[in-house]
Amino acid sequence: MSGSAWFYVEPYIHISMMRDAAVLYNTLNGALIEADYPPVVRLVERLSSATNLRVVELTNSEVADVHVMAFVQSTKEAFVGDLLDQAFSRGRPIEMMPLLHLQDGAFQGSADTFERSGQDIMTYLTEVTVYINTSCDRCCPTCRQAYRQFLACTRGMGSSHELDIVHIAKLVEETQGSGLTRVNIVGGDLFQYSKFGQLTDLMSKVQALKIYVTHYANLLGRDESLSLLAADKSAELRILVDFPLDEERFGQTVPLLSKSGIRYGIDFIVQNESDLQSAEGIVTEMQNQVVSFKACYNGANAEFLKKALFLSREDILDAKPSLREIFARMAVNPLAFGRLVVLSDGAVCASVNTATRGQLGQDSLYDLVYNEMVSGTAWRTPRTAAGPCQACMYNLLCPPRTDYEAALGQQNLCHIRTASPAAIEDMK
Amino acid sequence: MPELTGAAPSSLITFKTQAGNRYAYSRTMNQFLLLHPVLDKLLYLTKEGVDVSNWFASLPNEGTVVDDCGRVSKGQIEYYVRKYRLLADNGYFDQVDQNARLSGTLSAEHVQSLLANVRHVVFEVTDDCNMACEYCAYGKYYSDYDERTGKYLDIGVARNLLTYLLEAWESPLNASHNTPIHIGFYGGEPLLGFGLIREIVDALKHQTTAHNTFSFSMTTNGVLLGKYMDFLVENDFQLLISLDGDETNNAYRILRSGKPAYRATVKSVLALRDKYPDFFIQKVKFNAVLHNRNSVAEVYAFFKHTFAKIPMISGLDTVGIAAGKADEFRSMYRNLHESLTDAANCSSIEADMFLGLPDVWALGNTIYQLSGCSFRDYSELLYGRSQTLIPTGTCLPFSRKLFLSVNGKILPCERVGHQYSLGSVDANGVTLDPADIAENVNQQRAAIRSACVSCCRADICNVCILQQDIQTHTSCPFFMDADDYRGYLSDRLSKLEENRDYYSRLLHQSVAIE
Repeated sequence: MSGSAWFYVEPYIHISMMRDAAVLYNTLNGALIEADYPPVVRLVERLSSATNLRVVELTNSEVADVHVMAFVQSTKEAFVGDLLDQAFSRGRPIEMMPLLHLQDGAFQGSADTFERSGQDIMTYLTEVTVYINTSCDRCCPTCRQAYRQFLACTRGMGSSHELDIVHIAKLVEETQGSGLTRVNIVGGDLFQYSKFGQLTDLMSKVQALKIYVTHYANLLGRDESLSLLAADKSAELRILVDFPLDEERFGQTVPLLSKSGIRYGIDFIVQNESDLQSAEGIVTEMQNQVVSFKACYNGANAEFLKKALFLSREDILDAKPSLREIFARMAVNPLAFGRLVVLSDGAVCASVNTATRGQLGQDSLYDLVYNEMVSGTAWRTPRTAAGPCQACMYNLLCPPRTDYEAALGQQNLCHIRTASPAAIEDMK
Repeated sequence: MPELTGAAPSSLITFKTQAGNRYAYSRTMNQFLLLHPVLDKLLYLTKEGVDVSNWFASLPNEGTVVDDCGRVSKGQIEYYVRKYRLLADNGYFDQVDQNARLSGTLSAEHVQSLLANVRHVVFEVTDDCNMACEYCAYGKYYSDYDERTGKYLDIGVARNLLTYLLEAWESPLNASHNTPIHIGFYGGEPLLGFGLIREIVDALKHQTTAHNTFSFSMTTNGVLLGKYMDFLVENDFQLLISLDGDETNNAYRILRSGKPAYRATVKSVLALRDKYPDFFIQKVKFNAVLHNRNSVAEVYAFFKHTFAKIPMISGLDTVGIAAGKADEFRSMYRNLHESLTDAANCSSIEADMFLGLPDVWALGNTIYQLSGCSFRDYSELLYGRSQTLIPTGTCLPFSRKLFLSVNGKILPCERVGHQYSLGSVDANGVTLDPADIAENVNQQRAAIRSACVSCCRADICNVCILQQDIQTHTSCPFFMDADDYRGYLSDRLSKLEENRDYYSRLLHQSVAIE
């Protein structure tokens, strides 16, 4: 280096700043640089300003400060930043630093945001989960909890309901202009739905993946229903398996499924290490079968859940979110966005854990989507909006909130930090 | 015109700005990288087909000479080789399959969906006008329009179109809710056909729809504003008034009587401003056409001082010039960019007019399209850009607008020649075949696709082939090879280097990129 230099940070770096600390995250290699030394934090602030565009000249005091220069060197080693001799050019370069922009103004908060919230709004609806009934002859121990945490059947909380097929038909009609890619059909025992034949016929016309969810014990003797499902080539069966397992019944189920020709996958509901071991034993015997493990909080197994679900700093960094994923996490909850749930009594919500936004049969799907988009709390509520995550510098690197947070009654599922409300206020 | 077909362009373009800074743009990652000269050298070697690892291994221990750096040690080069590999491993240098990318086609179902979602309908109320502007798009300099016969749009025809569209807007293919549909009135001078305007506005005001409301707009020369302003204000019209500046600037705008139109226009506009000052502030905009009797500086100063407004300024339409009129037209034409840079207060005008000026718009467009930070909507943010494109920047039919001409022709917009009609409306109803429209669009695009495949700017093309009357793959004047594209990107980033604050300012704007 012959003389003065420009110090710059690359455009693929995500910078997170709180009042007295900064994190620079390399979205290409997962490298992370943390800084709380005040002159370094001020340097990162300067880099992030609207006029510097991530390119600054180091001041004399910065050059003389070994800690600042060590930071500069560490950015270089991690391919986070670099130095450019000013003699290379006749003017200061720029970096197009990552600033999220939505062309319809929705993120910038422009005056016409409200108007545009309704523009092409139905294309945002990508997934609908329909609880068609509550009736079921079984009494599973996780019936009241599992469906609040992941896609699972339930007998529901109140009186018996069955969703009117007319309302389902209307729902299907109103999704024609939508971005629907997936419909989940769940009970109760969905095979007890009184218009099951009509339902499968209706769903076969929907240009989306259909996932029918059932407990394994409800499959025996349902050959006719299974053949209806198998006739729809864009339908799949998701089979819930919990423990203790009725081995005889489960053993009879697998050949039945194979015979029906329907595509299916198995979700093992695990509440403890023992369940997990049992599930893994079954998986070993079922080669090439699509399976997943669903940890289920039952009110008394928090430690197991922590072990199964909670993320460490390393877990978060290993995920290596892209810049676009980070942008998406700034604006919305990507896991919740575009999803609606219809309960068997017709109530519609963004998730089983959020408030009802309306009623199928009374409100149009357009109104329901619009209400969630404009005033809902699920789709457009990023992790950064509330709770301890607000004050966490990893908040945009962390996966979006899921239904587990609601089920466990806490807003972060990580081992990093649990900031007190006072600390959060202090960070703002 | 050279043959415009050839190999697909490189997915990585390196270039220097006017200040000499080196950058690379990766199409795969949609990102600009600031380059150290050593990294630039490695990218150059790659372009020349040299294997970077072999080249590095063959270097002597004392390193080598790199442009601008002098001798660079092997250790320093090794650092940039590692950086090069990091970028390569993350796809920065991957080749985009341009053939696959530009393989998009339009289907009849898509046309139906676009029709059910059309948000802007413009009625050409009349081709009659109370003025005879010398540069009128329907005047002596142009040849690509239906003959003007003082005709007025039949109200029955207009009603038939609305009936047809109302059915489409109420269908489940309409994806919008609680959003306005903009109804525009165009001419000639639309206020000469005020009866039709009133009928349409009254009908739509009382129309109940499940998903939409209606808003109204008009482009007018302003002469009749005094007579109809109460109605326009009552119905909350958005007005775009055509005026080219002060009396001298406005010399090409003349009344049918042959007298200058300036005084009549300004008198009406001032009457509107005095009677409805809030409406004037909120709902009135001006458009000035630039020519050899005005300049950007004069137009800007006039509107700023007379009406406290920032006008839109547009150039004369250069497409469809009549045979034998080219020289005469050329003498009238003035380039907007040159006129702006000629202004003593160029910077302050630019900062004030901002996206209203083509240079800033072009910079904005580059940032919106190529920075990787800007997304059309939540879907693009969540799921990424579409993998396939329908070539050219031509709007898909009805994606932005539907224009009904006074002769009952349905057109994509008012700026497109009438030979590109998409359908028609008469007393019996609407004749429009989505399958035919899709087939025509696919044929038009197929005719030019081979040029697009080798054009560096194909991803962000904003050329309307209908407006420019580009019909074959050999006739696109906007085709960019790698050198052209280098120059294009260099211009944009040079402007940004000189106006660093524009970046965040542009990324705080709401815009509509097609």
